[in-house]
Amino acid sequence: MMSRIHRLDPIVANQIAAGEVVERPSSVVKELVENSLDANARHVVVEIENGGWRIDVRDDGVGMHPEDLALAVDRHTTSKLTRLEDLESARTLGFRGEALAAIGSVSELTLTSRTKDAKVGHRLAVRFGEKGRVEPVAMAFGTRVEVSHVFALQPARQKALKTPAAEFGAIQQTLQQLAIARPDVRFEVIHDGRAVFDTPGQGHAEGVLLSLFGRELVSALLPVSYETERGVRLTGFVGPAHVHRANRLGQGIYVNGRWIGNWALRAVVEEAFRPQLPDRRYPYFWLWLDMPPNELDPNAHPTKAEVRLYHEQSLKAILYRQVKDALVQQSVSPAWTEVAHPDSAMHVSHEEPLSFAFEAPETERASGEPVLHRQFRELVPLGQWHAKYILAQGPEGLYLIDQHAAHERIFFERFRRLGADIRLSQPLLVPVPETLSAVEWASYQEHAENLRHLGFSIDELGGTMIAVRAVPTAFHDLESHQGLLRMILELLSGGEAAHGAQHPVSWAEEAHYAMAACKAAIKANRPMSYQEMTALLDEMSRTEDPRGCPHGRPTMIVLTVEEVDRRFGRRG
Amino acid sequence: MHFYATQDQLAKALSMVSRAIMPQNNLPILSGVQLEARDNVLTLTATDLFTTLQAEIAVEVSQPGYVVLPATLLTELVQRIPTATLELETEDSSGKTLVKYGKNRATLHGFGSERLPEFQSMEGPGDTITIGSGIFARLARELLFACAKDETRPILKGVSIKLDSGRLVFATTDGTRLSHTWVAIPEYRGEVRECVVPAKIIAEAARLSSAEDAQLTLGRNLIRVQTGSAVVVSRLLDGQYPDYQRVIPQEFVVQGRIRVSDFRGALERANLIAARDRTSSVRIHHQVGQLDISASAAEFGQTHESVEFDSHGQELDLLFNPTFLLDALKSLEGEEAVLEFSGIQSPLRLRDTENAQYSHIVLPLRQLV
Repeated sequence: MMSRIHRLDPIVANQIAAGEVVERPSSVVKELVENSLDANARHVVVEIENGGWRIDVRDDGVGMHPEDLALAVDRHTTSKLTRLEDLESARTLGFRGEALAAIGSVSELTLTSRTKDAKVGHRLAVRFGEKGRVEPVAMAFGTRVEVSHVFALQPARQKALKTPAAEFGAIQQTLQQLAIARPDVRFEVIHDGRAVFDTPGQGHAEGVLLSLFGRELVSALLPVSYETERGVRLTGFVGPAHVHRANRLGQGIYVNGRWIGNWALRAVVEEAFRPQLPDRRYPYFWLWLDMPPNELDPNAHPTKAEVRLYHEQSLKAILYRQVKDALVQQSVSPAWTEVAHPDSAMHVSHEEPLSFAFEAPETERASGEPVLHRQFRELVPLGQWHAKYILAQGPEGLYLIDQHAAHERIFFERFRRLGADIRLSQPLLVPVPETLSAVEWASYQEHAENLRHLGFSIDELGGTMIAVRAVPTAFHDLESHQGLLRMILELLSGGEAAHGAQHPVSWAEEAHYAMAACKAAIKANRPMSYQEMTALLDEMSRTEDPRGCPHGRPTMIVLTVEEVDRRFGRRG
Repeated sequence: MHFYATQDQLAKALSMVSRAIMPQNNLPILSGVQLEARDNVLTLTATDLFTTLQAEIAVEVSQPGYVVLPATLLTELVQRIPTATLELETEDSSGKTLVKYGKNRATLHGFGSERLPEFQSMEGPGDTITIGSGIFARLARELLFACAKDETRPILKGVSIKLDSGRLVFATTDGTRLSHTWVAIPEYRGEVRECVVPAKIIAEAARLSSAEDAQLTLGRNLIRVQTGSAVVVSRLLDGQYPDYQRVIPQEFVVQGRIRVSDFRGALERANLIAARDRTSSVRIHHQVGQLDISASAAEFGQTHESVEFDSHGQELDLLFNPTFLLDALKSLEGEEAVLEFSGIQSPLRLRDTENAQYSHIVLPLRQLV
């Protein structure tokens, strides 16, 4: 009897395995362009026809020797890696040695390449896994890969493809991310003979963003830059919070030059925008993280879109705080230049935009907090609505301010300031020994200096054993000061506590201050006089982050004239 | 079961034993009080399986038996009964109990024929010591405020007991302060023993009759205190109590006597300000003959007071948690207190001029730079 089990034909096996790497035309483009980038290309031209039916990627990279051509289209062949240990330090985008083999097994692929020292180039064609012969051909330096008839022999795959326009959309998104990730490489993208974009390739990310998103957005971007002691460098741009779009195409997080689809990091960045962002709208940001290769494992997923980061929690904290700081520091300059009519503030004239002067007493208060957000000084209260919201008119339109949230924010920052002034530590009669878990130990190690500053005195006893000799008194409302260290370490390792430059210790105390502020602040259903409303807005201008209450609710909503006009059918 | 009891005796006994019952119970019977009538004695028992309280009162038993009734309901009912005597009758094994008072009656649904779960019995040598009347009340005042309140180190919620020849030594600490006191037991000549008991048993023992001496029995697993006909039994706590002897200072740089009411008044006023400040601390400055007590809160103001202090030693400037000092002063009996400072970073010892056995230790705060 014939045996039932037999080894798959290598071509069939490759076609099956290809499904992991090549799902749709955009993944073909991704693999090919990444190869170009790994070949040190400075200029990559991508021509797409009919949503990816034909893909042509040309680069000016190092090229391949003719004898390598045949090997390159086999499985598990690569020039980027020889030993497994090399993976630890791999800076290249690819390393698995699968891409070309996978693509070649599901399409008609033509590979032509010429190295710098070769007189001619060579060409190799692969038709659905069957290799042709290597032939000499005249060409410029570099490598060109032409792929067509993708999935022609896999009707199931082909049926799963979307319309050519949708597939090209996916390709374009992939190429955009690659181009943003590598501003030093010029990307020329052509679809059906039409130039889609062409990045300058001069190493400036702004230049790339400019060619992709236009001047209006790029000129409004806020820079982010931060470097940790562990050698992790964060650079990039975030869009101002009032500019947003309905999808996430204006975002990217790049780790060591590779775009990654880490939703946890993305979520934490979006969280920093949250108090100002309407529901289901997404902010613009492009952030580059550079870190030693041993801090991450790119081999978690065949297409490498998922990268395992070893200190993800602390990265989250850094991203959150830096993005938030950038958003908070942007000072919106008053765009309000109308001539003043001192007493017109309380009534609204029609047709003309309302003009007013805000006769703010410019004298600083005794405690003298500087004015950080001028736009609040431009606000003129029009009245109170439902004894809950202040209606105010300002440069950007009509402002609805939640009186409780706003007051809460003011108290929160005051408590935080007072709390940071003097720190006392309560020594313990008998040191409390604690054995930390590996996670707690890691966050203890990382934050030992902060903990000391907070008022802990800790002896290391060897291993992950410590003895707590003193605890901070700042948490005097907490019954359990002995469990405090564990609680804080848990907060830190959970990434909830964003530790930042401005308030080195506040991450542990913020929840506490927030609660106190909520109690102290005026509540809804409290009528306010005009003086009270003016004072509240004035105090808002002195807060560091007036956008939301400490619990994350927004403090205000802005209704622009354009929006009101649109609703009344005046325009568009 | 059928008995006649006097209303006030029964009400008192019920409210005494009910204190053992936890407010929430997943074992329903633990919310009940067990009544057992026999030989003209009614034994009332309640337990949370950690501590058991038991009382006996004289009643007229016409039919012996037992029943477990919902403790809160029975206690509140008996307390509101207007007649001097009352009658309890359980008809059958259903637990339905008739409470008759004068012409009126109420029926309570008991726990059938169930009994309270068996409590552990005393193991080990079981040394019994007589503690003079009123002493448990003093112990409770001196010790219980310094017990830990939180669960992070459960052993610190208890009271450390050391049975030594001639002395029964008690200590409590929450990690930042320590109360230490002892009772003379001249008749005890047994071995030295140490254990940790729940704070509850000291509190309950202090509530038992103060007119009579108490008998304290310490077994390997239980502690039992009996006063007259009332008994409280608790399991011992497992775990190692920290070695507190090391932290009791032996040398002092400032020693003196102060009037408790003056010091306390100054601290209470300072605390009004201090409690409004994030640091909630008072500054205590010593120079020979006086203590300066001051507090400040950036937004509210300052206080500064001088209190006469019959002292000798060096000048000192310290920060304290005012609550800790006030707690300690409240635990003193006499009009004068002895304050002994051992340095800037080392503990302050407070003692009672009336009662040399008791001392309290509290650590100053440290300002961070």
